[in-house]
Order: sequence, then C-alpha cells, then structure tokens
Amino acid sequence: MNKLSAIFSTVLGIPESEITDALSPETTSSWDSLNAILLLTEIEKQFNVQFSYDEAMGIRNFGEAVALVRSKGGVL
Amino acid sequence: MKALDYIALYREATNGTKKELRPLAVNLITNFTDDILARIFGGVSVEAGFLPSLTRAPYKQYHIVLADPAEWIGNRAPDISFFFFDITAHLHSEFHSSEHLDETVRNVRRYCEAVGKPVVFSLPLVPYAGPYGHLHAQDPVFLRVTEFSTQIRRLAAELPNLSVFDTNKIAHSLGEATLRDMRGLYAFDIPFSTEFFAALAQEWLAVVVALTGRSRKCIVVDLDNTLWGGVLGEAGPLGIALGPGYPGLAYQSFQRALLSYLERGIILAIASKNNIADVHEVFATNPHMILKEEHFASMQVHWNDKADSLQAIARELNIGTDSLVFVDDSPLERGLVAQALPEVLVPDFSIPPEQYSQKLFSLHVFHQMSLTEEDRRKGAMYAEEHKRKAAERTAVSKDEYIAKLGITLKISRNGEMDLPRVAQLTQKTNQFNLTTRRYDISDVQALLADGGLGFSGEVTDKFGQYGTVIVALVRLTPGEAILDTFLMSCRAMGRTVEQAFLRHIVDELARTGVRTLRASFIPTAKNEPASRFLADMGFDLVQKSDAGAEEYVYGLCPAATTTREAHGAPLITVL
Repeated sequence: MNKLSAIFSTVLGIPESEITDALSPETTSSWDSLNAILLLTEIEKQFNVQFSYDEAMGIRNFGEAVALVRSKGGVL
Repeated sequence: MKALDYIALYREATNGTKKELRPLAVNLITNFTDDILARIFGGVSVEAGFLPSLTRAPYKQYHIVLADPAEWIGNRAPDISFFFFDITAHLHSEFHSSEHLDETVRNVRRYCEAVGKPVVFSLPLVPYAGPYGHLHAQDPVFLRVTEFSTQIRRLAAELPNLSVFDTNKIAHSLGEATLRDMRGLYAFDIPFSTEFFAALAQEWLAVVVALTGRSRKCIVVDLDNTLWGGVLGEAGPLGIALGPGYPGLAYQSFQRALLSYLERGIILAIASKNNIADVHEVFATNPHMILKEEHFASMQVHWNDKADSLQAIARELNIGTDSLVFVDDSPLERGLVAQALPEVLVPDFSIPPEQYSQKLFSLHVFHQMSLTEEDRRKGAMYAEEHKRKAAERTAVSKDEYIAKLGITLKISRNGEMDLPRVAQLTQKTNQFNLTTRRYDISDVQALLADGGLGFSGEVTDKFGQYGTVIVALVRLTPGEAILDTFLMSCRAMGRTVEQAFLRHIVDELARTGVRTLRASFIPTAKNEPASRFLADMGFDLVQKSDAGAEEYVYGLCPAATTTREAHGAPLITVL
C-alpha cells in the first residue's frame, strides 16, 4: 500500500497515517481537480498502468483508487 | 528532485514553514492551463532560495491581458516575466492564423516596453510530427511556428530586456513522447508532462539565478580519473588513459568541454591529491593533454583536505566558495567537501567518463543574462593574474609593486558607459560592493534620466586588460550627492584602483558645485572587503542602524581641490 499512499500524501500534502480507504475529495480539501490530475498521471507513471478517462474520473475515494490499480495489475 | 517533490516543496513554502527565502515577483503568460507549471516553478525556486509570488494571465485570456499590458501589470512590477505558448498541430488554436501570430509579436513588444524588467520568452516547440512526414518543412503549422520564432528572436535582438530560450533544447533531451501528454491536452488543456514542466522551470530559474548574481564562476576539477583515466602516481605521466581509444578519448573530450567553458569565461582550477612535480610533468610532456597548465587560474595539488583546497582557491581568485562547482569522481572526496562547504555545488560524478561532459552541460548554474567579449576573456584574465601574483612575490613593498604594474584607469561617464556591462557588474559583484543593489539596464537608464551620474572605469596594466571593473552611480539633489552604488569586480582588488576612482568622482562632484557627498555601507554576508573603505577614504560615520548599515558623509571643498595630492604621488594614471 505504501507506494500509492506515498503518492497521495505528497500530492495532497497530508500525512500517510491519515490516508484511509474512505479518503475522498469531500473529506480532503486539497483533493481538488488539479490535484486529481496530478494523482492520475503520477499513479499511471509509477505503477506503469493506463486508465481510461472514465475510469480515472470515476474514482471517488482512496479505496477505489487501490482497487483500480490492482485491477490493472499494479503491485501496491 | 522529481516534479511532485517540487510541488510539495512549494506548498510547504507558501504555508510559511520555510525561512530565509528571497521574495521574487514573477509574471507567467501561457496559452494553456499552467497551474501545475506554476507550482513546479515555485518548488524549483524554493529549492534555490527564492519564494516566488506568481501572477498568471487568467486562463485563455493572455491575448486580452497583452492587449493592454500596462493595465494588467499595474503597480506590481514583476522582477521577471516568462512567456511560453504551445502551438501544436494536434489542437487547432488561434495561433494557426498568421494574423494572431503577428498580433502576438506586437503585443510581446508592448509588454516588454511596459514592464521594463527582464522578460524570458520560451519559443514554442517546433511541430515536426504531422501529416507531412519528412516534408515537415512544408507543413503550414511548422512554417508558422518557425516564422513566429524568427520574429521573436528579431524582437529580442532589438529589446534589451527580452531574452529568448529555445524550448526545443528540452525536447532534445527529454524527447517528444516524454514531454507531451495528449490526454492532458484534450481533457484538461495541460499539454505537457510534469517532467517537461520541471525541465522548463529549471531553465527559467537559471535566469533568476543569473539576475541575482548567484551564477557559478569557477569549475574546480580533480585530476586522477577526472581529467584523465588512472592514477598518475602509479601509471606515470605517459601511462595515464588519455587520447585515442576508450576511455582516453572520453577524458580528452571532457578536457575539451572544460576548455570551452574557459573560453566562455568560466574559471578553471585544480584540487588534486598528487605530487605537484608529477602534475607539472603531465602538462609538460603528455601530448594528449588538451588543457594546459596556463588554463588554470589556481592549482591546489598536495595531500591536504580538498575542502581546504577549495577555500584556498576561492581566496586566491577573490570569489566566494558559493561560486565554485567541484568535479571529482570520488564519492568520498565529494562527500567531505559537501559536508564542510555546503555552498559548493558538488554534482554526482560517479558516472563513466563518457558521461562527464553531458553531466556538466546539464547543470543550470553558469547562466548569464548576456555574454560580453569581456566575459569570454575572463579565463585569460585570471591566467594573467596568476603571472601578476608571481611578480608581486618579487616586489619589495605593495606600493612599489602597484607602481610597477603601470595601472591606468580610464573613466567613462553616463552615456559613454557600457550599460550592459555596468548592469551586469551590479548583478554579479558581491565582495567589494558598498550597497549590493542589483540593477538591470533599465534601472541604470532611469537613474541617469533622473539627473544622476554614472561612472565606470576600465583598468589596464602591463600584464593585460581587466576591462570594465569598477562602477559608481550617484544620485543628485541640490547641493548634495548620494553614492547609490560603488562597486568593483574582485579581479581588480588590492590595487588602489577604488581609491583613485573615488577621488576622481569627488573632484568632479566638487567642480560641479556639490558640497556634501553621502554614502552608505550596507553589510551582507560577503562584502566585508568593502567595509572599511569609506572610513579609510576620510568619510565621517554619522549613523549606524541596528542591522549594521552605516551612513557616511564627506564634505567637499568648494574649489576643485585635489584630494589627489594629499595622498602623495598617484600610483595610478587616471585617463
């Protein structure tokens, strides 16, 4: 889980300990549209996976991001 | 650092957790969503000790902003402005019309004139990819971009505050595939990857560093396995790897690269643990050496600490250790230097020799706003200085030595001055600088237009020319003059040039009816060498602030008195 939460922590500016599956744009003010783009490109780069636009935009919380990376064969 | 780390660094800095950052007002004008670029540039700036306040042209409104640049700039004049437009075959934009390109060139001119301060225009990437294949030179988009770039270059030749960067340089090192983000372009109007933004931000920061006088001046190299392959003490002067074949050719090419740096005005020095006699022998006998002993302005070859060597080099060259770049293949030596002297730039040279030149070229630390003929001669000047020091050792007294040098000081006033050089000296001079005020050309012009006086001095001695090395800027009020700026390049220090120059200015002010000359000394971390100058010249200290800034006055005699005679025979001929 470390690599993914590290990306979220760096991009959103929150400690890794605060990152749970429920973390979402509603609970985290720094998860704005710009940081969502950064999260998307950074996750794709670091896990060497590609999301479709709809998949990426459909992510509603950290837990769903984890599931999506896993479904693409990314090793967390 | 990676792009994400820069973003995080900028966020921390704007949250006020970083101290001692120097404020920097920046205007950014692009034609895409530039939030990420702005944040990455912010982080790159913070890493280098700046805290930028960024003002961006509102999204998709750059042309509206540029239609009336003075209104947009208002009273918050930026220290520097950056332009970058993406013109791509992938997405049709207003830039595909030649009217818009012409209009943009006109607007950039108006912006530069309105802002007065440095403007950097990063040229659009040349669109090689497109339906025309290898006939890309006939592709209308390609033609427009190249024509636009040519026009911007012409504009830069005309406007002193506009410099042009060729963004294709980044494309060459990163590759089109790495720098473009096609989904980003269509989904968010962010057409580039964060890697590209980081590379662009680094290029831009190099200008900021140059403008604020923080560019590096000297490359200090190790010898064994840096200038040549192998260990000199074991292999002997002809046994080291240098010359035809691998790895000799790689080392030879690195020497050639260093020589090119010397020819563009970067000083070279040596810090090596070797026997000096062996090193002399290599220079004298090895036919494959590109660099000669005379190319080095300082040689520290012995078995002492390299941190000590670097300090000795800085002392000898009269530059700060923060002007040094240290190149050594040994991680141990690099680590020791980095620990003892954190201000020295110590790039990672634990790489094979064929990558040495590339590594050096990739450092963004030698940038200058302009490269004058004088800059190019700097390396040679430091070599001459080496010979002067030898003469100094045989002279009896310092005065005798200075008299022997046969120094002449040729003073230019106001419009006669070489303005780019004068501005450059204010940007670069750290040690002998009373007030350390950094000016660009327009600032100096404004001071002169305001009735102020400018003096610059060119120095020559029997060993060669120093070029323009000393500058004074004086503001005038009725009956009083204020010495706004008085500085001298470190290469002219210790020759009483500054005394002759100030006396000349004092005489000239007295003749024009000035009765009082005010001057100040504003201490910085580096200008200790200038700290006693005003007192030594007979100025009276009238005030000292808590921060250490000292205010002085000097009463001028009504007649054109010659302060000169009071000091005995002049050592320096003033022209």
